[in-house]
Formats: sequence, structure tokens, C-alpha cells
Amino acid sequence: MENLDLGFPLWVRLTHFFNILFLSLLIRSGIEILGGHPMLYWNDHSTPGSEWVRFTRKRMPAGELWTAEDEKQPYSPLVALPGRDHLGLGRYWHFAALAGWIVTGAVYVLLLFASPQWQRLVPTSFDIFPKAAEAALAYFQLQSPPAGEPYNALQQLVYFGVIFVLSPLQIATGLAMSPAVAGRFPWYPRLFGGRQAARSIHFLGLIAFIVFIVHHTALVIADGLTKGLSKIVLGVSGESTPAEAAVAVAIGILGLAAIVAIHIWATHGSLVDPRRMQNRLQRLVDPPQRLLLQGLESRQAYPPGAISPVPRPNGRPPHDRDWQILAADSFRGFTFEVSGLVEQPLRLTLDDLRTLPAVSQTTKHVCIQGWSQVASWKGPTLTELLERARPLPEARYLLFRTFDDKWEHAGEHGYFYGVVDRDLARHPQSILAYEMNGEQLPVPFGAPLRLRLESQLGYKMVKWVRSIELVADYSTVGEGKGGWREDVLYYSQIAPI
Amino acid sequence: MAVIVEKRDIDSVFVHGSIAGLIAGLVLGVTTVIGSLLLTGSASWPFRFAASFIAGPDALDPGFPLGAALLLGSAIHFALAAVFGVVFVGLLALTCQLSARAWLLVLYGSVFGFGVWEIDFLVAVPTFFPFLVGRIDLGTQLWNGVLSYVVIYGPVLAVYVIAVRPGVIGDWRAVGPPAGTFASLGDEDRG
Repeated sequence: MENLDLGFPLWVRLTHFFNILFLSLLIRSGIEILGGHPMLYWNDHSTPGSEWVRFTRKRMPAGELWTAEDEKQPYSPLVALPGRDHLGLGRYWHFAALAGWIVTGAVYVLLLFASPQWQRLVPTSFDIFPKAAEAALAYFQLQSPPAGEPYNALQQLVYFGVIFVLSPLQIATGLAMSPAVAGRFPWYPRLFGGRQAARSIHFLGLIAFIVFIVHHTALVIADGLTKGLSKIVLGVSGESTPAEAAVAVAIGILGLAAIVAIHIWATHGSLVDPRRMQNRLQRLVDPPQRLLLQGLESRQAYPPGAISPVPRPNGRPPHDRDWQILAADSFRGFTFEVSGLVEQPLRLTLDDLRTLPAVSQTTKHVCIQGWSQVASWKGPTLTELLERARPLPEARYLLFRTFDDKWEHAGEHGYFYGVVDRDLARHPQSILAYEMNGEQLPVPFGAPLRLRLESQLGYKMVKWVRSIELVADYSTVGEGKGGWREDVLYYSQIAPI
Repeated sequence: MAVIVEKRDIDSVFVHGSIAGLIAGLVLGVTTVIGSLLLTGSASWPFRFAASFIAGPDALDPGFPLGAALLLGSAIHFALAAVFGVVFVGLLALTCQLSARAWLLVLYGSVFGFGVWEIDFLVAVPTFFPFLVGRIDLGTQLWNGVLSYVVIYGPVLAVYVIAVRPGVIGDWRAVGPPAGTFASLGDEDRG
């Protein structure tokens, strides 16, 4: 370890640049996602009022039907990507940047250990701790700590912590928020204290990254900006010549300008033409999610005692006249239909549905906004219905039509609908629920029928269901994105994370 | 419709930030003087230290008039304390934290105090007052520096916000369960 001159090879400099780009995109898009539900909890019930921190100035009223959508807090595009309540695109940006960040990190770590560069970061002795304390004391006394090779002990410890502890922790806690992962492996979020604890830790990790970036940048400036830029831009070890310093500063400024330009393009493009941006990002983000997560089958079985005391509804009950007439009569006249590409179309009353073999499941509902809650559900599986309707081979999707006229949006985007792949419909916990927590499904939660897809985010679980139509293609339905929220709010057609 | 629990009022931020800063500055000043007396045997050192920001290294000299050092040092100390108090309350208002839980506000105060110490001692002193660099021993830096900012100045700012709750016009924990749900319906109403 003596007289190490590791320098800054090109791959270190390039991965450093891409790290700045992807981390900054992750931070801004992460703030956008936080705005979807600007409250953090340590309990998975997300009980209103139990949050340990909140980033909103409003609370919900007592004695009125409020929904989780009312709790959103749009943030400025100056801090959020893209800002102004674009949760769907914020998530797309987060996952796209995550892909880039993971690739960058993997390349960096691979090359780090394939070269002597690992000695730059990895402590090889417990002496690192007392030496780091000495370095901290030197900083306290406004002195430069003993030079390391190439970093002093405190720097080495911090960089090691950021790369090998903080970064994996962020990825691990992010994965714990996936309903597909948590549904298939319910023990996994418990490693972090639960789904909401994982979300809180993920947020604290964001803060840790921001604190690190501020201090890292400040120390580089304090140590000499041109010296630091000469190293990280040109790879100059030792003193740089004035010409090298000038070139390094120029390239450094250009690099930062490029990153700022990408942020402006991403923000502006998302706000001005969200559909185009959705289409672009969808091609990048959806295939790996489909490959890695969409096939995971939920195996949740929470005990009855785990049911959340204050379940949150989302979406306001329909104003549709047919639905109101049915609701006034406790849905006694309701007839549910399965039609489209099937050999045997079905028309079933609620009583008919209750005679079918039913599944009861107590599961965790995970909303795209960020909150969660546990409830029990009962109803026939979609498999049960499909076996009776006998879909034709070309039937690839289940199109759920609803009574939800989305009157809050003045009906300008049509009735709420959702599209589910047949593979997902075959999952054992994919059911059409008519009961919640042992009671007839309440109106705010989707009476008379709602979909439960326990490996997906809540927005895929259509409420106030009227019928199912088996279709070969959904591109001509609505805006063709596979659901009302996909059409209007630019969400993804699949929602395993 | 949602109930607003915090209002953003720039006048309130300035007024309450200044008051919080002056109170926290007073407590910090007293503890710093006591700390200096115990550590160095000189109660005037903190005043001379602060006065040197304007008067230069001469203020550190025992020959510099004590009265001037007291006056100038106090003025600079309280001015900075008030400015940072406004920054603290302003940041809380910007991030909707004026109504935050008490323990969280104390934590914010400590973290903010650490940040102020970093700005004061790690950025401002070496950059603008390099003559002070060699004059701060480790004990003074640790107690009259970082610890007093983290455990005195910042938390006192927070305690002021907890006591007064500037800009807070409602209790966010008074949220009721949504009407029409299990938590708010009687058994006969469910369905």
C-alpha cells in the first residue's frame, strides 16, 4: 500500500460522470414520487396521523369522504422530475435512471476489483477507524489530515460506505417496496421492518446521498477545484500544468452543462408532451420489469389481526346513474358479464357469483402513491371465471369495464377501465372480490365488485367493476395504453413495482 | 376538501426566525463564555473572536479595548444568530416542517446547528479569516464549536418553534377516518 499511485483511469472518470447524471435524475424523480404520498411511516397500515414525517401543508378533513388522491402534494419542477403531479412519469424516470445507475455501478465495481483500484476504497485493516477519527479531528482543527494513498482514512471510509453500504441499501429497500417481490417473498420487506419502514429508510438514504454530495463537492472545492477537476476529468496525478487545468475546467463545465441540459430536456419534454415521453420511457423500463417481476405470484397470508384499522379508499364513488340505482338497492339487480373472445359468455348476478368457489385472502395493498394497508378479501378467482367462459386462444387480455364515470374529471377521459394480461389473471390470488374484511364490499372500496391482483400496485385493481371483456389487443380502447390511469396519468400497463 | 395546517408567511418567517435566532444566540453566547472561561480562563475570548470578523486580528490582542470587543463581538454574534434563525425557520416553512413532531424538530435543530458550525468554522473562517485558523485549539473547537452548535444553538431554535409553532394553523394529527369507510361507519351502515 506504500506509495500507491493509482491515478484516475478513464473508466473511473467516465463512471464518475455517469454517476452524477443518474444520481441527480434519481434524486429529482424520487422527490416526484414522494409527492405522490408525502408522508412516511414506520407501520405498514399507513394509519392517517401516524406518519413520522410529512412534506405537505394539508391534512384530510374529519367527517367527509376523502381519498388518498387528495393527499398528493405536487412539487415544483425545480426540485422534482418532472414536477407538477406527474407521478407516472416520475416513476418512469426513476426506473430509467436506476437502470443506468445500476449498469454504471456494476461496471465500476467490476473494473475496481479487476484492477489495483480497489485499494483506493476498500479498507484492509481495522486501523481505518482510529485513523478516520484522527482525520476528523484534523478537519475540526482546520488542518489537512495526513495524506492517504490516495485518500485519507476518513475519505476512504466514507466512499466505501457510500458505494458498498448506502448504494446497495437503496436498491434493497427500493425492491422491498415492490408488491410483486413482497407478495412472492413476504419475509423480504420484514428484513427492513416492513414495507413502510423500507420506504422511510429509502428516503433517509436519499438524504444521506444529498449530504454526501454537498460535503464531497465542498471538500473538492476546499482542496482546490482545478486540482480536483484535473484529476477527475483528465486523470492527471500530481500537479497539473496551467494548460491541463484550463482544459479540465472547460471539460468539467461542459460535462455539468450536459447534465443540466439533460435535466431540462427531461423535465420540459415530460411536461409538454407527456405521451411521447411515456412511450419512450416505456420501451426502456417495461420490458425488464415484465421479465424480472411481473411473473412473481403472490403468496400472502396475513393473520386476521394484521388487518389495518383505518383503510384508505382511493377514488370517489361513481355518479353513473345505473350504478346509483343499483347501489340504492344494495346491488340486488346487478348483473356481471364476461364477454368478448370467449366460447361461453357469462351473465352472473351477485348471488350467482357467491355460489362459485371463492377464495379468502388477507393481503397487503400497496398503492402507487406509496401508502399500504392490510385487508381481507373474498371472491372467485379469475381462473374460476375464465374456466367457465372458456377464452378463445387469441384472447390475450382481460378488459375490465366499470361504472366509474370519473366525474371528478368531468368525464372528459371516459369511464375508468383496466387491462390485465391473461398470465397475471391466472395467478392464484387474482380474484374478483365481493367482500372486504368479512363484510359486503363497501362503496368507497369498489362495490359491488373489485379486482384484486396481489402482485400489483393498487391502481391495477379496478373498482366498481361492471364487466370483463376478453380481447386480443387493447390499442383501440381509450388512448390505447392499457387502462384509464395509463391513458390519463401516464402510468405503466404493468405495475409489479 | 383538505384542511391547510401550515401557512407560509414571509413576515412570520422573518419575525419568528429572528426571535428564535436571538434567543438561541443568547443561550449559545452564555454557554460559550462559560466554556471559554473553563477551557482557557478567559471569558472575553469569544467576544474578541467574533469582533475580529470586522476589526481583524487586532481584536484578538489583549490591548484591544475590552468594551469595543464586547460591543462589536455581541453585535456580530447576535446578527449572525438572527440571520441563521431566519434561515432555519424559512427552511422549515419551505419544507412544510413547522408543524413537525417535536423530536423531529429537535433533530432538525441539531443537524442545522452542525451545518451552521460547518459554514462558520470550516468555510467562513479559513476562507475569510485565515488569521483565526491557528488560534482555535481542539478543546475550543469541540465544545465552543461543534458541540455547542449541535446541542445548544440548533435545539434552542427548535424549542422556540415547538413552543410558538409559527405559521401553524391546525393539527395535522386531527385527521379523521374517511367518511363511508369501515373506520367511520357503524355496523348498520356498512355495505
